[in-house]
Amino acid sequence: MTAEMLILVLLIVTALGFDFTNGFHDTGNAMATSIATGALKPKVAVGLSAILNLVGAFLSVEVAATITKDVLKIQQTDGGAKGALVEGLDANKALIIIFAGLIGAILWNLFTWLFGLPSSSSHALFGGLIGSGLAAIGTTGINWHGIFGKIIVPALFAPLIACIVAAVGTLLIYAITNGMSEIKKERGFRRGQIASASLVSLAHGTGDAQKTMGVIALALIATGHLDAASVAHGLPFWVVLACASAIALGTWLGGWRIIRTLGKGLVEIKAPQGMAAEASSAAIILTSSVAGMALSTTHVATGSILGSGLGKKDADVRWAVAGRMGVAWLTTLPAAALVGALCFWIAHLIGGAPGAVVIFLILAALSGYMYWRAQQQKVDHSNVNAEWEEGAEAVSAPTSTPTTPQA
Amino acid sequence: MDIVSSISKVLVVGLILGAGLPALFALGMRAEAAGEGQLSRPANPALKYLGYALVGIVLIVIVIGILWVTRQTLSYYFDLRIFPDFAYK
Repeated sequence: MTAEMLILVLLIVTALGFDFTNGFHDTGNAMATSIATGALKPKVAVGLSAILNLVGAFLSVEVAATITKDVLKIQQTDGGAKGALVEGLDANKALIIIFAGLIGAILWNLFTWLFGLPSSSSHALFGGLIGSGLAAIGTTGINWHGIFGKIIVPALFAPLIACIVAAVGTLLIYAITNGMSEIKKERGFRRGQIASASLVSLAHGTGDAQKTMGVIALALIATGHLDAASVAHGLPFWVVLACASAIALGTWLGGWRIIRTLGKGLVEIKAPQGMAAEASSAAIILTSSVAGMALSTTHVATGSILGSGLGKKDADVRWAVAGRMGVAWLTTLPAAALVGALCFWIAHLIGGAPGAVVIFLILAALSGYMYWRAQQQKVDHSNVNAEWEEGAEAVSAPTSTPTTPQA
Repeated sequence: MDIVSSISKVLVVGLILGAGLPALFALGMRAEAAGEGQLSRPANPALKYLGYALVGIVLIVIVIGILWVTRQTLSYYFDLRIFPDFAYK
């Protein structure tokens, strides 16, 4: 096997690993409220979400071959060779940039998961790529305009818009159904909640699986295994199958720590609020893509849940938890960038295939450590809905006293 | 000022669909409950059917939402274009 081929294989494995963390990091965006209100049993919820993510990933035909164009200037953005590397950049360097960026993204995803914090997987990926791009090329390789307009501005407004919409929805729902029996309300809104949450899962599959397909396509183009011009007519089937499966598998395993924070940590959610939150998320994710602004599912979902708390008169919003999330959002991009840059330097110093193997081993070791750390205070389907203790970090969530029945 | 106009568009449409639809669903539920005589009023079949109709409208919009998510695929594989041109790439 040539060095280039080895790096390519490691990169594809790592890209699928990122896709997997993307899936389990984001299960909560769609399903946390349904699990918290009891509309769906925990395992049923993640199963439904996984299937819809899988279907969504297969449904999407918008091939994101120019995945990096919003943050880096390493790909041609138009013409017949759209998606190919810009002139002057060799395949090996490009592979290492993408590889190091992916490692930054995965490690940050796992780190935030360990603390039960929902953070944007897209921000993690872009952050990682920006970091490795800066380390490899310097500031000229960065698309500053794209970063500002496509990432920073939407990130500031997504939670705000979602919060307003969900708060208005919650207010209206409670005003309209005032006086109805609680049982009837719960039953009706649980159904509505399941429908709207399903829509969020489907939209997530069509959007997010594309990112990984794009990364793999880019690596294949860089090494000459795929013709840039042919990408417009679709990607090789194995790429679509592998990416769809990886994100669905991640979704199915469920990021329980994050589901717990979103469903129980921010606000104590009742079914009417759950429906308002999911309807708001679905509407915003779908309309923002029309307006040419891809908002992060994570930011929208979190803003919506917060809004469903603000819209109900006597609901308590745990601002300390919301604050921790805010910190995680602000740090996602720079933190992933730092890891991405470090990985590039390490790989570059060692050089060639050994360099790639070393950063892959670093990724495996740190991932293993974080997984082990998480197992010490495990959160899963049995204790995801346990009482939230004020001030408790997700890593110290209760383990021995499951309060919900087994799913 | 592209960004500002995109954001306000998302906010307005988001309010209509994201808050308006749940409100419509709630109205439907209330009409249904009232029609069945659950809100200290005599049962009224007309109200009950109004309730069903409102919930039906919400369902139709959800189906349109799913068609929207899958629009590119339907257009690509089946040449099915149910939305106006601006929706397609």
